[in-house]
Amino acid sequence: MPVKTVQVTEKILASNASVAEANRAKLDAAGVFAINLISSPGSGKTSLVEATVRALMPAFRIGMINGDTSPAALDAERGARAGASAIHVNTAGKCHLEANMIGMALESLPLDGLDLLIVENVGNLVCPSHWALGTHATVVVASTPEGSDKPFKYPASYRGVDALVLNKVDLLPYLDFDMELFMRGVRELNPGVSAFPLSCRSGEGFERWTDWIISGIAGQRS
Amino acid sequence: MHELSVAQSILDITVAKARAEGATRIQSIRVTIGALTTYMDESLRFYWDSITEGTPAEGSTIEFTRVEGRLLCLCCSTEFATNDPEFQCPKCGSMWTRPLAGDECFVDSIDIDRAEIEQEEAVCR
Repeated sequence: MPVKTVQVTEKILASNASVAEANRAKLDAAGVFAINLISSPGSGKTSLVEATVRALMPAFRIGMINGDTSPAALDAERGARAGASAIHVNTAGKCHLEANMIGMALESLPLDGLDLLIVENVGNLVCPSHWALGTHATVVVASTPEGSDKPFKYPASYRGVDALVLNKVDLLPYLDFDMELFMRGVRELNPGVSAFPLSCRSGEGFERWTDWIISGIAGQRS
Repeated sequence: MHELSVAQSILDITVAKARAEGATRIQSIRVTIGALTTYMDESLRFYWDSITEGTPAEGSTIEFTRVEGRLLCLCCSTEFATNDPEFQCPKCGSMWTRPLAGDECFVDSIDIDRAEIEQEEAVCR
């Protein structure tokens, strides 16, 4: 069989990038500020969504897209109970959300009636950072029981993110968490990143976080 | 696990290109992977064999070329080559770096059957 070689030279993630751009345009047109939460499982992403929704509603209307690897919509149900318009995305085993999954979820959200969209990515510190979604800011959520060496072990998830939440600071008296080491890792990988040590449970440090969100919403409106 | 998404994207790109060329079979695919990505050849090959079943790329071979990464240290402006995605600046030890090259993955070229193409060209003549 005669064979013909065809030059392709196409980026593997080019189609994801173009869908992400379309998502961004849609969010901008509706004036919605969107953030993408990435973290390891169990850091408290859903608790952060719940507490954020409770702190900001009813002044701001909030949507949530939650990605999980199974059909169990437990986290989206928690977001909905807190008051968000919540969509569950079953990635069917995939370890991260992709732009087309967000694009489909945006179809089901009342975008014109929202101020803020929180995307809760699949709990995974490796893969989600490689897939752009079209959100305006990526926030890495760490938590004190995970240990203070996380920035050194998962640099791709700390490098280039727009904000960092360090959750569960109310547990610091019971842990050997080395705050200086943790923050050194964060600053080396991402100097100048907005950092929010807080506790979703006690409310400690939470106001600085919601102020950051509110300034993002205000920026998107103007 | 993310190699499944990457393999699917490679398949979408190659099938679209083969169809545009009028071919129905893809024999081989060459892909370039930058050292700063986290894609593993063996994992991609594993997914490739299963997702190509029933497609024009079924039974095709996939070859990978690895290219080195280049990073710029944002602390001391040193440019350096590395094969490790998390490498520190060799001059000042900082981890604050920006990728200049090697953070991408491309489909370079594909080999497609010419049979159908030649048949069509014969009809045109």
